[in-house]
Amino acid sequence: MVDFIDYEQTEPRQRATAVSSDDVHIKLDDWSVVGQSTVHDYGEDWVTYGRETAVHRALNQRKNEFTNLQPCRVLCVTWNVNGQLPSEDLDTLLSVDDRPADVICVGFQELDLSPETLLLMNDSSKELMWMEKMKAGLPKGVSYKLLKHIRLVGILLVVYVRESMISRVSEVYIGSVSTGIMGMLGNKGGVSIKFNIDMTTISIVNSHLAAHQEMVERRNQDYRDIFTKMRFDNDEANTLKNCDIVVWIGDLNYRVSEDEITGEEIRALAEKWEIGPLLRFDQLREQRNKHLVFEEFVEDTINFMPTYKYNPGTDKFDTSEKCRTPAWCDRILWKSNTVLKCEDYRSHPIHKLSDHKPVSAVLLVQTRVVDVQKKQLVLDEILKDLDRIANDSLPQAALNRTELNFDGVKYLEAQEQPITLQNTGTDLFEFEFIPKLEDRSICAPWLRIEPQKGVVDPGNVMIINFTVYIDNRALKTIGPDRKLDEILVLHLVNGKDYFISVSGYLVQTSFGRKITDLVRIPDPIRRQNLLVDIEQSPDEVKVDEESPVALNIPKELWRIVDYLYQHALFEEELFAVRGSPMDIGAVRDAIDTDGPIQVSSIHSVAESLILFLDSFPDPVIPYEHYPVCLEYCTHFANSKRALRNMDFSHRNVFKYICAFLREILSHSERNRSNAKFLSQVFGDVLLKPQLPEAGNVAKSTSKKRSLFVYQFLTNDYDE
Amino acid sequence: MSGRPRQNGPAQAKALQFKLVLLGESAVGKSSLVLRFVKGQFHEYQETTIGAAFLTQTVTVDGVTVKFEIWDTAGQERYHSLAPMYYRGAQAAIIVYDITNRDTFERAKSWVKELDRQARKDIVIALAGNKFDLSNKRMVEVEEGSAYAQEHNLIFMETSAKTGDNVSNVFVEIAKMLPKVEPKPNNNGQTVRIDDNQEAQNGGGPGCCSKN
Repeated sequence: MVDFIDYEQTEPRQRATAVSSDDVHIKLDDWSVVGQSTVHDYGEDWVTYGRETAVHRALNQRKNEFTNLQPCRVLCVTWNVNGQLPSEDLDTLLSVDDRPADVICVGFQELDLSPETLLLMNDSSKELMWMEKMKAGLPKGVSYKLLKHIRLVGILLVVYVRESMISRVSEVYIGSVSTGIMGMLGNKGGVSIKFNIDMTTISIVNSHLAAHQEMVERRNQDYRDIFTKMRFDNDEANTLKNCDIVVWIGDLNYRVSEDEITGEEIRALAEKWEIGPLLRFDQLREQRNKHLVFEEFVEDTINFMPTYKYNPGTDKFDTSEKCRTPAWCDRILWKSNTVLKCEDYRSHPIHKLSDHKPVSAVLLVQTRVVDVQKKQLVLDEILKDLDRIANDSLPQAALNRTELNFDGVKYLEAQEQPITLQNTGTDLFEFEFIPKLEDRSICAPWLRIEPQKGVVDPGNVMIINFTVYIDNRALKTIGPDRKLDEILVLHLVNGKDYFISVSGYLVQTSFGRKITDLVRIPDPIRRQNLLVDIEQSPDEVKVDEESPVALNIPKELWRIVDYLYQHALFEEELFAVRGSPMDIGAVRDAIDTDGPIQVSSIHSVAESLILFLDSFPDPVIPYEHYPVCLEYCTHFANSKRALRNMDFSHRNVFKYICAFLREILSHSERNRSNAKFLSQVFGDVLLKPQLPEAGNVAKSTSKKRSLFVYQFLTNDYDE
Repeated sequence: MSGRPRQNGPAQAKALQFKLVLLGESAVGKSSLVLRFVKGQFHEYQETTIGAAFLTQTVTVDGVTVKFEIWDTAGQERYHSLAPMYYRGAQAAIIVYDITNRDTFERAKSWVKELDRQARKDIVIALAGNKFDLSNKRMVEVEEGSAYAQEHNLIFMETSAKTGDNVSNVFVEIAKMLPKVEPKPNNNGQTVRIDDNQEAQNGGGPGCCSKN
């Protein structure tokens, strides 16, 4: 708890400011309920630093560390003026204290009882007069500014602030709640002005609650309505609840209960100044003791006579026909989350124009003032903490390795290596492989990653498998150096990226080589079972365009076809049944090393032939001749002419394959082969478009491709 | 009336947030600079960064807080092609070299050229000659770094992640150069609007905004 700062110590400095009361400006315009609240930028300072709600909250929690408390004297006055004109001077109400207040809040009720005011809520000339009177009655020697005023029919609230303090005031808002008939007419209800002094939020409420002895519950309800329904600046979040200090003044209309004591007895006690006994029957005290109204509010001890009801112009209690019982209708209460001291609580019987006496209280409140330098230090600490929390909560992971080496990858032979991704943090994280810059896919076609994304719980390990598999599609993306090189970006969502390098090389193979290269290589393309590192690879066979052409067709093609010729001429369903991967590997090794072909199924060799033909970077019918061949697919003479224009080796391969297929067809009564099927299969292998074709186009060109081949299977062809 | 920002609720001002990337040859001390700046630590044998580490750090400059999203990239040449993923869109870059290794200074220069070509036009670049603590083994004179920086309009500082010298200064200097979208509210020019004559003359009635 913060100790109360003695006002005396700081007062002299403030008192030194003496300015003429002419500096008090009063706004004399529309007095209706809807008003423009005022704003200034002090709050910005607080807000600007708090870019994030977290910073704002942390600063708020630690505000004691960078704020000092400064005393502020608030004079609150409430008076039911019974619709009278201000015939009395008000310095006897507003300037009675030795020490002029810093803030003066004046609340009137029944300021104007004229029917027009009640029904039309128009300007009130009486208000104007009362404002002038107040201005004249403010303490002399101190300059005040009218901070704000608000009127709801006859309920007027005016707040003045010392001019020298104005720079410390911000966030000025107004609000009102009508509790009169149907909640519409404002003859009963409350108005409020809310403002900050330094960092402390203060609301003053002036209310006029329901009248009459028996209407206690109605008054309680009026209080609750005003407290809960009050909104400032039409903002649902801006209520009386989030104020540091609420001072509630007004004609609360609570009477002295006549349940246990008669009106005559009350009047008799009052006339004898027997305040104590009478207060025992004060309805407000009763209701508050039962926690039915003004919970959490505090009221100072009443040492003054009942303020109601007097014969106007006198200090005599009501002698009219109604003969109202004396009561303390006019009250001042407050609730505060800091220490608040009430210096004086009194009535002002000298004022006689109304049937009520004014009541006032001098409250010593404490406002929070920011020490800018201290605040900066606290802010720096908070930001550092928040950064630390943010950085600590980033996903934390460990990879068992970031480099994968695939040495000696063989065509069509998958190799797999795992990486383990461990969550070493305290929260689960998501990971995903992301494409690099403009790349669409996350890795090269020869690499497969499983899984590509996922979630890892704290302490858990995810095994990510990397599989290198080189098929004909992947072959086309591998350079002549046969190097495999790829960097993958493994991204932890909301965190760091890891780079995973995958490298290796493809074992030398005839698959995927150009026909024009293969016919220049008379030796086996690879020495048997030699799997040495590519850098010193002695199996590299250098080929250039200048080398002499040694062979009519690639020897590997000859090996495969020759094998089929010897073993498969009578085989049914050739090229329709798939082989086994192991056999295909064996065929690959056999033709690459010039070893014997040993397979379990003849169909593996047949499939190897298809794969081999399909692997050429430039198809058997070269891309540049493809359009012409399609055009002539039903014109054999032209087709032959087209063929003559092709490269010698390509033409030879085409002729060789066709001759072989015709040989198969010549045994069709045994192997049940037919030219249509074979030309379909080989049409799509021997002829290929350079760019992928759309589905419907591909269908018609496929037919043309097979027609082109068909001609050569059904006609003898000799140049 | 509803157009005016609320002032006593939670802060709604947007964070000043900037993406900052560290570039430079391998082993010049990029990660060490970040570690020193963010956590105040130094490891003699800092692990090689294989990827791009991400951290955040806030600095306050002239009362304005600036939050950096720091991407500390791998310096090895083999990862060079991935760097644009990180400097693309960055508002700030620190290009680091090692004052005891001339090659790293040359590499730093080529980073400057690459950023000139490929990065945002308004990127704020700082050139940091790191390992100032080893200045007895210096191979790049401070004048040389400074002159190059001046010529290319870069912030320049020699730093030591080991001793902490100038480390946060680099970030602070960058923060100063970055555009502050939100103007700093004037602390001294506090004015309060009150009901006064001027407003009355303007016919400021209910609902009439007094900000004019």
